[in-house]
Amino acid sequence: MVSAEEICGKLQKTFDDAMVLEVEDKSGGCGNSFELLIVSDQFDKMTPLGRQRQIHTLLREEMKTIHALTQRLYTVAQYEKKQKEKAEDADTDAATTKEKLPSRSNSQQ
Amino acid sequence: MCVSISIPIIDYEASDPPALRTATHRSLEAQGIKGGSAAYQFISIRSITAKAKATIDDAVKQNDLVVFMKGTPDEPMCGFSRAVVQILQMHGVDEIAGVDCLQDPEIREGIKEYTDWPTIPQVYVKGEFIGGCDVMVQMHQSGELHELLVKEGVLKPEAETEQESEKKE
Repeated sequence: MVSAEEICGKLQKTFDDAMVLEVEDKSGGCGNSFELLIVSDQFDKMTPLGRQRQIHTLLREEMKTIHALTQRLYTVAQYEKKQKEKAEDADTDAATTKEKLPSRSNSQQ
Repeated sequence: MCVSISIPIIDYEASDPPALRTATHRSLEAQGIKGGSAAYQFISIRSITAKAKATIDDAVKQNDLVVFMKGTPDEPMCGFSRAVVQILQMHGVDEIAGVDCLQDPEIREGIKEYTDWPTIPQVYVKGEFIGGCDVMVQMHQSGELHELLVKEGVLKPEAETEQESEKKE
């Protein structure tokens, strides 16, 4: 079983310049489903597919036991743009929400 | 006796497992490990069956767009597969050719070998691997996906996304 810390450690060796490098175990500690966020200009000029293939190569051993991997791989410029868009959306939501939404029922449909 | 061996990561054609096997054997022999030693026997190399390769080849060649997924386009059985189907439908792809990898373990493992990609779903357009769910989401957000679908003839140029239609209303 592989841990988020192990994956993070391995990726840090290649992405020592990363502005953001986060690895989250989404499987509740079972070590088989992870979400990665890496922000590094090493991804510049690489297609989304190329970036993911690089991660798969680096994590070739770990991928044998990992069931699912979500990867968010951005250059610094792309990430900063996304953060800005997110902040702008949040501002817009705050400005247009005038009434509280009714509370959701707890039962599943 | 424990033997420490190093196996370099070798670039190989995903559809050519025998080449990988030969390259691995040569690498081990170069390190002094001859065929038949205990350590050597523990090297397991995944290989795609001829039947699975033929099925995957057919699916990839006969469809302009095909999704190797869990479940079917009408009933996806995994969140990532569902997301891919929804993105394609959002772009106006009404008829999605899907291969349900849950139905056949040989296909489920074979497609990973074929593409050299460890996860499902996998999207192919005009015989070329485009990516999995993450790549599809990114390409959808950047507009590249719609461009690709139009360029490769999966969508007619006048097809609009739901978002574009909504804007006009």
